[in-house]
Amino acid sequence: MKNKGFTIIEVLVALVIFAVVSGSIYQILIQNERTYRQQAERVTINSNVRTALAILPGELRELNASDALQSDIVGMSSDFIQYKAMRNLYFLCQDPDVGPGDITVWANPWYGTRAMDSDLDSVFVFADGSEASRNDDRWVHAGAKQLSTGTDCPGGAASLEIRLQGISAPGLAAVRNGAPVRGYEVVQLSLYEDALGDYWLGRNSWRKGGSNWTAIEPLLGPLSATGLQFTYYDTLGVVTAVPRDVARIGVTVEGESNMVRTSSGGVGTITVDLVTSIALRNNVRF
Amino acid sequence: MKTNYSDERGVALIIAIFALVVVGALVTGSFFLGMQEQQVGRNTLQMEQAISAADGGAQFVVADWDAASYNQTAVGDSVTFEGWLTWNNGWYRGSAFRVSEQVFLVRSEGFSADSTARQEVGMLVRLKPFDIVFSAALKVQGATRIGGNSFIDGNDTQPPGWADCDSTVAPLAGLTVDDSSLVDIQCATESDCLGGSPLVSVDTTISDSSMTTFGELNFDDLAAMANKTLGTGPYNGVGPVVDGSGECSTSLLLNWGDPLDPTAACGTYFPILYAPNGTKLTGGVGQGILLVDGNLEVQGGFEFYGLVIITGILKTAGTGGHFRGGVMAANVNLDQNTILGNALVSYSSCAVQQSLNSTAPVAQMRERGWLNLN
Repeated sequence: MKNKGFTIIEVLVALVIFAVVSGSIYQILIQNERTYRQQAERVTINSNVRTALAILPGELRELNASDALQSDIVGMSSDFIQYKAMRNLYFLCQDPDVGPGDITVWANPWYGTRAMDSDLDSVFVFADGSEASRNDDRWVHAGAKQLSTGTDCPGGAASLEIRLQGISAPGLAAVRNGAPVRGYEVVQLSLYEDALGDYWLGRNSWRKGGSNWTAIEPLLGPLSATGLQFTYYDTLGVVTAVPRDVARIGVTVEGESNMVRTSSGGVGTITVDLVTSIALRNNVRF
Repeated sequence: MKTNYSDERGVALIIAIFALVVVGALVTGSFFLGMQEQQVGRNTLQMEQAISAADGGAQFVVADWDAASYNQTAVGDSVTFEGWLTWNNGWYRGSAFRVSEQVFLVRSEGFSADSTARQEVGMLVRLKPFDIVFSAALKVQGATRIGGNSFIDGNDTQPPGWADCDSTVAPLAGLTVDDSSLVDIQCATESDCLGGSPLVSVDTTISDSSMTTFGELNFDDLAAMANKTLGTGPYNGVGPVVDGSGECSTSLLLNWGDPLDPTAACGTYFPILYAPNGTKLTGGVGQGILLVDGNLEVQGGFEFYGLVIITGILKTAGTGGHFRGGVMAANVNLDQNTILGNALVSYSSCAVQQSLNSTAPVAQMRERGWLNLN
């Protein structure tokens, strides 16, 4: 008689072998899945911190910290910076009206990220002084109090009249037709924690009208709890706390992932650092 | 023996296929992440190429400022430019837009080498006029003799037909010298040969340095910027030449612009002329800045509008020459400056300023001159 089926020993051995093989495959799959998730998180964080590289240098490069009247860096510490962010550029189409403090600019063309906003913007107006010399060139500081459109530029071209307030030295008498006008808003970049406990690089703007800050909006993140560090250097490369001495700003951004399983099976986060150094391009050159 | 396959009920195949599917999915996912990371990195590289190209383009234009072209641009007009960075690491294009008599906006769009990324920057630049201050129609270091029917006039006059002139300034001295004892005026009275206020002034600060240093630049710097280099001459027939298409033929050695008709094709052409071994001019008309390292001899009613700087002797004779603008002559070994015949040196702030503006290089504004236009 022919024996059919397996002995109990054979079945047990087969089960053990199957369990060992299945367990190994399972471990490999789990490990691969964790690695995949970690990679995905790392890619996301890399992308986030690279955003910092795209946003921060573009804005901070335009600063003139060395302005004798007032530095473009309004406030600074290791985890925030308040600065005058350039937003638009116009050109005068006629000599300024010194009495009331009005300037009239070409409505077109203008350059920048957005048009003039009297609620947010103040202006720098170029004062040439003597045409034969650059040594007396200055930028007049003033607030943009009121805007009105018209057709007051030569040839009846569209114009934008800006009523200024708080006009600094050397005053509008030194300003000539054709002078550039740079509009800026005061912006704050800082690390903040949202309601869920995540940290973000946030930005908000100073509203002149309400004398308050706009609601903070996230620029990038999530970051670690110490994921934004500013360091300020002077022309000699020495760390400084004086806004007017700043020639270069070092920025460290540390992105942090959501909770992920680590390779060892624990739970943790992944962090990625980005360090960049931004030279201020608009400081006084001589 | 016949095998009955239907009796084989193993799960190995199913498990193997399942494992292959799962592992395949993970591998595909990893590849996808890798590709994504590579693409993001590539985008970053291209963006950096583009911003470098934009910045480089603006810097190149300012460093190699084509004064003969850009400085002649009317307010409100622009001149375009384009080029490649070295090693083809990106390219740029843009324009120099004249926003006022002194200020230009240079806009430069930069592109990555494969043109997939674009960035734009701007630069506010202003003319850097040579800091040459005239205190007289004729400023001389050394001996000076004036006679015949010549006339040196420090009263500011605008050349006929010249537009865009500022209002005239208060009269300058006709002649400024470092030592009045070296002046020999062979006229019945000084006012027969000299105009201005005063007729003659003495400036003891005149020196080799003050006659050849002009703010940030010196005589050699100016000479290095010359558009045309002259031989010893004599040159006759200096004058404007227009080609068949109505353009000013600026490449011709003896075309020095057209001061008599500022609205003509050569009317806005103000070259810098440099004679390294002195020169002799016997007729014609021109404008700009004339730099003579050595002696300048003028005859035949030659007329020049603008600025003349001579390191040696200025000598006119016969029908002499007419200089409208300002003249400086300096040489430590200078024996004499001879202004005879019916020569005329007439101060014109307009001729001086337009010559300086039309030949001036530019520099980025000393502050707030860089713009991020993205």
